Parts: sequence; structure tokens; C-alpha cells
Amino acid sequence: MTSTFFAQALYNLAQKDDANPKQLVKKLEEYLARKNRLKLLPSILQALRKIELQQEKLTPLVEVANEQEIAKSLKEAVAIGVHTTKAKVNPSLIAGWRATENGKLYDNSAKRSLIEIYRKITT
Amino acid sequence: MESIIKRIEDEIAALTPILREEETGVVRSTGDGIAEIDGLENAVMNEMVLFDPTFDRTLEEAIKDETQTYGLVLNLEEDGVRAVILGDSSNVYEGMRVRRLGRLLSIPVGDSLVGRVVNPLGEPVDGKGPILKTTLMPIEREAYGVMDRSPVNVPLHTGIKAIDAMIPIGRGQRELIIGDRGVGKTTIAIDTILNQKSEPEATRPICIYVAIGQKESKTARIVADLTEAGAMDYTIVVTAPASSPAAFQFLAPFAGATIGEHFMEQGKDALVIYDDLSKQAVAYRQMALLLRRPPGREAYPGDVFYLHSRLLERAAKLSKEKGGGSLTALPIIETQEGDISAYIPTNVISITDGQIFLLADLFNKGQRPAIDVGNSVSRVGSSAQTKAMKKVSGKIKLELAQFRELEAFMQFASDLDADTKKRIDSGQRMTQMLNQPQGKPLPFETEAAVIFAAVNGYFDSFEPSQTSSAEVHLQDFLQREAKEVLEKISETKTIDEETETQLRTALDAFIKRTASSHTA
Ligand SMILES: Nc1ncnc2c1ncn2[C@@H]1O[C@H](COP(=O)(O)OP(=O)(O)O)[C@@H](O)[C@H]1O
Ligand SMILES: [Mg+2]
Repeated sequence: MTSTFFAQALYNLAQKDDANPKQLVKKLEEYLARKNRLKLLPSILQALRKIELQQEKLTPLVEVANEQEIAKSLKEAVAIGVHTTKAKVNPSLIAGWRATENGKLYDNSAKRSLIEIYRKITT
Repeated sequence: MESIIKRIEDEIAALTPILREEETGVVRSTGDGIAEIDGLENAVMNEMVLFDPTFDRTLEEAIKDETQTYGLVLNLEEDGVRAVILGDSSNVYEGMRVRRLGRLLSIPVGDSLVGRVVNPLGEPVDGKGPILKTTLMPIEREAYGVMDRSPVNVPLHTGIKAIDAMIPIGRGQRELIIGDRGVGKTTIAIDTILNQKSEPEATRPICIYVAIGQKESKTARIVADLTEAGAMDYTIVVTAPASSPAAFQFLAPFAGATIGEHFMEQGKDALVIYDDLSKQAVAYRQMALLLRRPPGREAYPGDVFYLHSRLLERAAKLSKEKGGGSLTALPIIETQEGDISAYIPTNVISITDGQIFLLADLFNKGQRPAIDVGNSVSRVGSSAQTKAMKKVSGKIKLELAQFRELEAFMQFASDLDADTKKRIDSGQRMTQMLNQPQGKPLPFETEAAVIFAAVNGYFDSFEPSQTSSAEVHLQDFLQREAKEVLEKISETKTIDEETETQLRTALDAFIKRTASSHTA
């Protein structure tokens, strides 16, 4: 439990714009050493990784097939509740976009449609 | 060719961008056929998920590789789920996307499965191409309630004299076949399938043989035998061989039940054989360990009883309102050194409507099938027995029980009085008469006629040790010379006075003929 609190604190500090992750871990180490609780370090780092994964999952990610579609795609994504201002270009989508957020996948790509058509016709 | 292009054109023309919204997770780790998945918070137990390799691939890569790997959600955890990989786990990798399919594990069922060999996912493994015209059914379902059921009232003839006479099975019943390895359990099951060929086609049960944890070569042999006998015309084989993942061996019986229910729900009769549930329990135990479920008695997970009870509950005879179909279940349990008091055997004995208990001792003494009549019962089947069989079988069980007592006593007695000797001879004749070779199930009218002959002393002129061969001769004789009598029993399902007279005439003629051939 204590490790989770430490991890959350560490994560919050790391989110600041001027944060230096290496420095932070070092400071934490010193702090724990002083308190004679260095044993906690591995479980704190484990808990931190979990928080990061959780955040990654929550953070919206929009992928678009090409540069030109970015603006339009981001707008469409907002319309379905995925709010972000950045998009990643992923040419393998062929056309359209897809978004992931909080464990949901919204797939509007031509790749997915074409795979489905192909499967429908060949089976 | 052109029509395909046309179809593609149509599909593309009709393509309006559809937005798919799905819940996805990411594989955290895999090993031993189990995947730990992050996410999928809303997934439910027994839900099917798809490990989707296309997410990270280009279109070209995606359509080149058509393998679809599914998973079955079995553990719901705080920050994810644990699923068994249904298929080749090397297709599943860390970081892979997993999609919820929003349905419980389902398999395709339909009439077109008849004659086919499939795996527990309903996929053909006989190289005979795809199976068309099927519908998806969840493999775990609530069993029918009491109101939808009717009492068992139609016999399911195994073609094995000892069973049809003394441990009769009715359609919709659950009868356990239990015994050590190599005592003839599978043989009884397969002979029962073979015997359905002598049923009229309209009422012939569709048979489903589920092979769990068996050697592939053994199952292949069985399929070949069934094919050769023409029995694959009404049979489906579900196979999860010993080499397949534990999850497959765990699922196979449920797949068999689901396929059987399809026929039952059309008002037809179906027979499903689970060969065997001991191996299914072992597979379940293995899965449970990997899923870190707490082990209970004999290291089986605590709900292994529930596993078997919910499977066997699905055997049923449906009411008229529900179409009157049936699903008969013959589960098989393999014991160790005849120990029926072990955990899994006692569980399954308590769930079924009776058991056929096979003994290694009897088997080794040459009694085949090696049925321990004293410890075998059928609790509901006798109400489904035909009048003809009831009439002849009443006496056998009692006589055999007395014989067994005498036989034990015989080992101590030095000289026997004439009456005791006579009764022992008679018991030996009865036991011999019930012997039956593998692969030779008998139509019930022949069984009835032969047993009639035995209980009415027609074999008394033979040495007890000659009874088996005399019985085979009698079968031939009846086939040749008393066909009408057999047909009449088959039609009326009874032996009325007139038929009895005709049968006695035929039997007298048989005795006379064999007697004269002896002296000649
Ligand atoms: N009624 C029978 N007559 C002759 N041989 C039999 C009979 N029943 C079984 N066998 C033989 O006994 C062996 C074991 O039978 P099997 O049905 O495979 O046993 P189990 O399924 O109990 O392990 C097989 O070789 C089979 O051919
Ligand atoms: Mg066997």
C-alpha cells in the first residue's frame, strides 16, 4: 500500500514540465535510505509502472492514415468523445483513422474495412 | 472469377465508413497457454476474445495470414483478465491487441456436421473442407428445467445383451460407463453407436462421440471403423487429443453437448458419449493451476463437481410441447485399480442415473463385456424397456446374483449335490450366453429371442462351456429360419402368446438340428 502512495507521488512529480526522472529516482533512493526503508524501492517502481500503463490506457491516441487527414480526423474523434490535439500518422491504415482511449478502440480505417471484406468473400 | 470481382465491387460500393467501437485490451504476458490481458474491464466469465494480429500489421500482412486465435476469459482480476488461448499460443505475443467479441464461447452447429470430425471449436479436422449452413450456439447453456422435461420412456438399445436386458438405458438418460483402463469401456460406447444402424432411420439417434485426451491414432482407428460400418452417416466425432491444449480437452464435452442439443431441439434423438471425463477433469485441474485457482481435494479445483453436473444436466428427454427430442449421455470414467470411491468417480456416480461397472478381473477371466452386474444399475431405463425385453430379462438378474453366491461357495465345497450343480451350470450358461464379441451389437429382437431361449432352458442340452458358440449358432439359425418371428417382435416390441408359440417351435427345431448334427 505504502509503495502505491510513493509511486503516485513520484508519478505526479514526473508529470511536471521541468521534471528530471533520473533525478527524482535518485532523490527517492536517498530519502528511503535515510528512513531505512530502501527495501520498498522495487515494489515502488513496480507500482509506478502500473500507474504508467493505466495512464497510457487512459490517454487518447488518434492515428491517421496520412498528414492531410489529421485535422478532419481529430474533429471526428472529438465528435465521439475522444479529446486530443495530437495525432500520429500510420500509413498502414490506408485511409481513415482510428483512436484508442480508456480501453476502447474506435476503428474507422480502410484497412479494417478491407480486411473484413476480404474475410467475408473468402470464407 | 467474374462473379467474385462483381461481389468485391458491390461490397466496396456499399462501403460507407462504419465506425466500430470495441473494447480492447493488451496482452501483458503469455505462457503455458494462458494470456494475462490488461484492460477488458467489462469482460465476463466464459466470454470469447480475439487475439487480433491485424492491429499491428499492414493490410497485405493481415490477409496473408488467416489464423484467428481466440481466447476464453476464465479469470476476472482487478486490472485485467486471464484467458486461456484456444489454439496455438505461439500466435499470441506481448503487447498484442485483444478484442472483446461480446459473446460467450460459441461453436457452429447444424445438420451438416453429421459425418464430420471436428475440434471443440467446431472446426473440421478431417480435411473434408468447410462445414456450411451452421448457426452459432454458446457452448455453456442453462439446462432445461423440470417443466420442459418428460420422463424417459423410449429405449436406447445398445445392442449389448447384458445391458439391454439388465441395465436398460432410455433416451434422455445419463448412464455412466466406469472401470479401469482396458476393460472395454470405449468398446461398449462404440458398439452402441454401431447398433443404432439397426434402428429405423426416422427414429435413429444422431450419435456424437467426444474423444478427450485420447491418442490421435486411436481416435483415427475409431473413425475408420465407424466409417467402414456406415455409422458415420449418423455420427459426429469431436476430438481433443492428448496432444491438444488442456483448454480443448476441457471444452470438448461441452461442444459435444451443444451439438447434441441442436438435434434434440429439432425433436430428434441424439446420443453423446464423453470418452472420458476423467481426462477432462485432469485438463481442468491443469488449467486451474495455471489460472492460480486454489486447489481442493486431490488437487482438483473446488468446482469440478459443478463442472460435471452442469454438463450432464444437459441430457434430457424434452416434453411434447418442447418437441419431444432427447439427448442421452454416456459419460465414461476411468478408475485406478477399480476404485470407484475416488473423488471424480463418486462425483459422477452421484450425478448420473446409474452406472455400468466393468471389472478387470472379469475381463481377464474372459467375460466380455466384463460387466459387474451386481454393482451396475440403471435407475430410470426400465420404464423405457420394451415389453419383449421385460418379459425375458426379469429372471436373469436374480439367477445371476444367486449364481455369484454359489460360485463363491463352490470354492470351499468339496462335493456338490445335484441340485446345486444344476444351478451352477445354469448360471454358467447364462453368463456365457451374455458374452458378446466386440463390434457385434445385436438388434433388440435377436437379443430378446436369444435371452428367451436361455431363460427357458433351451441351452440346457449344451455343456455350459459350449453356450457361447451355441448362442452364435442360434443367432444364425433365427436369421435364416425364423425371420418372421424376429420381425414380429421387432414390430410389436412384445412377445405375445402367438409369437411365443412360433418362437418355441423355432427353438425346438434348432435344438433338434444341433442334436442330430452332434450325433452325425
Ligand atoms: N466384448 C469384447 N470382446 C472382445 N474384446 C474386447 C471386448 N471389449 C473390449 N475388447 C478389447 O479389449 C481392449 C480394451 O478395450 P477398450 O474398449 O479400448 O477399453 P477401455 O476403453 O476401457 O480402455 C481392446 O483391445 C478391445 O478390442
Ligand atoms: Mg477407452
